[in-house]
Amino acid sequence: MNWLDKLTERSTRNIAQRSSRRGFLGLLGATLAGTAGLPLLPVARASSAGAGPEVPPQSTGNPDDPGDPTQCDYWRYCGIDGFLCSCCGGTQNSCPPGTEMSPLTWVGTCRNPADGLNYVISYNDCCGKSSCGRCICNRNEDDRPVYRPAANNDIDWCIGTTTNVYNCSTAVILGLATE
Amino acid sequence: MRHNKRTRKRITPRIRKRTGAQRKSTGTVRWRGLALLLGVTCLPLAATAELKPEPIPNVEKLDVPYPPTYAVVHDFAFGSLIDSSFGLVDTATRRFKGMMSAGQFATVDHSVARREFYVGETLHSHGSRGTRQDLITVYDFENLDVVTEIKLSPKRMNVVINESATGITSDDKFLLVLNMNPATSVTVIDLDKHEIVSEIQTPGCSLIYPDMQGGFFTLCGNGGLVSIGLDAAGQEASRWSSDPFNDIDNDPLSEKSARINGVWQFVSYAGEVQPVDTNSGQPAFGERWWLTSEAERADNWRPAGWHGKAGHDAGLLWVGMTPEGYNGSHKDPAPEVWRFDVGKRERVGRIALQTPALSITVSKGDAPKLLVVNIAGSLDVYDALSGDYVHSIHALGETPYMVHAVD
Repeated sequence: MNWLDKLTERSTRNIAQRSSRRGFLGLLGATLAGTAGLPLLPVARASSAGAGPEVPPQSTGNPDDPGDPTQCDYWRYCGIDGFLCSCCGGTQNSCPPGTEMSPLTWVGTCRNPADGLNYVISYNDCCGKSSCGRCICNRNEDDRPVYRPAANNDIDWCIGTTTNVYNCSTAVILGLATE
Repeated sequence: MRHNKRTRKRITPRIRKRTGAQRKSTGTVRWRGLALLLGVTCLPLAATAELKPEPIPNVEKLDVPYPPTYAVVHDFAFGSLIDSSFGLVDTATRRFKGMMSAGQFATVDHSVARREFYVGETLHSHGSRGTRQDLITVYDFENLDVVTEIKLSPKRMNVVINESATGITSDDKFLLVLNMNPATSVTVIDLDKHEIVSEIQTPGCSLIYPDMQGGFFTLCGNGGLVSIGLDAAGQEASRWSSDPFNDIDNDPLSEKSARINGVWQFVSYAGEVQPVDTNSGQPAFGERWWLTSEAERADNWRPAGWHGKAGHDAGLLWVGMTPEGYNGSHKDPAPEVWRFDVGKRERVGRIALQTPALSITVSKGDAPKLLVVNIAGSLDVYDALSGDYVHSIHALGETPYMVHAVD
């Protein structure tokens, strides 16, 4: 188990003691922070609602994980900000071939409509190739200014990777967030 | 050698012959044009001087000092982040004057007195891969050409356009650059020497707000600020930490702020103003006041825009506003810009924009212009006082998100 796994485990335990994402982030502190990377700038908000007809629909294949991971309204994306890796050769929880997943992330707490439970989602960036440019998505619920980096999605969190060139963002389940 | 001489001899007469033929045919062409295209009125009716050969190479220079109507539009190039740019435009004539190319997550500062731009950029030796290089690239106003490159440690903060990621001290001596890896610090660059002179550690604090005494303060994750004084050599001379004054969890102060007469005007997500006076001694916290009435707040009016604040030393603050406020609307486009008198703490104007704003700024001087980068990617110019729309400048890059007045 590497340092990140340990950190994640500890963080998840902390989550169990906190009801809000902000409380969770406060415990994590700035150095654990991360972000899904880039903002979907308002100019592109029109495309936030979905990937558009040019991107074929996808499914997780799991009825307990409902929705289309190419769409901005997929439940895990409640705090995401950037290009959806599901449209870029990766999936909602994996990076496209030849990229590198950032070990640092910022996290959100999103409600799964299938079971009604809140999950802690880690928005790991995929790095090492230039902008994917597909399926841009930005949702800023509970986003905080840059001086609270753990809760900010403007920062390029391709930190700790071979290069800090941003390609796309994933939404990985860390675990349950208890109320 | 002999061959070359022959060639030279042959070329010269040919050019002359061709020129002569052109002269003879001028009248024929004119008649043909008149007969066939009566609508073409631009043909010369009198004998005209032939066009002279033109010099190659031929590269424009800009007149300096710049007129106060120049502005820099930042194309973030979201779809190709490693190739961003800054376009220089004249907001009076709508002419595009030139550009500066940049790497990813770039910043720009300028000094009118020094007639220089300072572009912060992150590059990699092989485009999207290879060795990371962080630079402050210095350009001169006259040529928009590189004067020098100041090499930074590869840790300058890479963040989507944020004016406070860099700053120039009020005495115009030092450029300040925020680092984050993810520990935070500020690199101090002497603008006389174009050299790094110090790095100041700012643990737990981010962003740069120059004060009026040659130093700066930075906002901290605990809700406080840290004020740093600099000596003449750019070294840390003093440090002061405030008590928390910023309720980040419940209603944080946006880091996108405007300085008016030495007072930084911070606005919370909900629309409450927190002045921070840097004119003397330690930063002083002014009395808070609301941009909106209770009724307007009930109607969900909130500050908005990517960079939605601008100030003028006449004591005026402009803020982008949206009537569709919610948790997460703080970066949404702003369909209106409201103007406030910060001395009276009241709204004195309201501008319904032609197209909603991403970012705004206001030029200096007695007749300030409100410059708006709108959601369609154009730059709209308004009279900042009357709110009257003047005109627009279009085609400013892939994703222009920010504008800086160069005055």
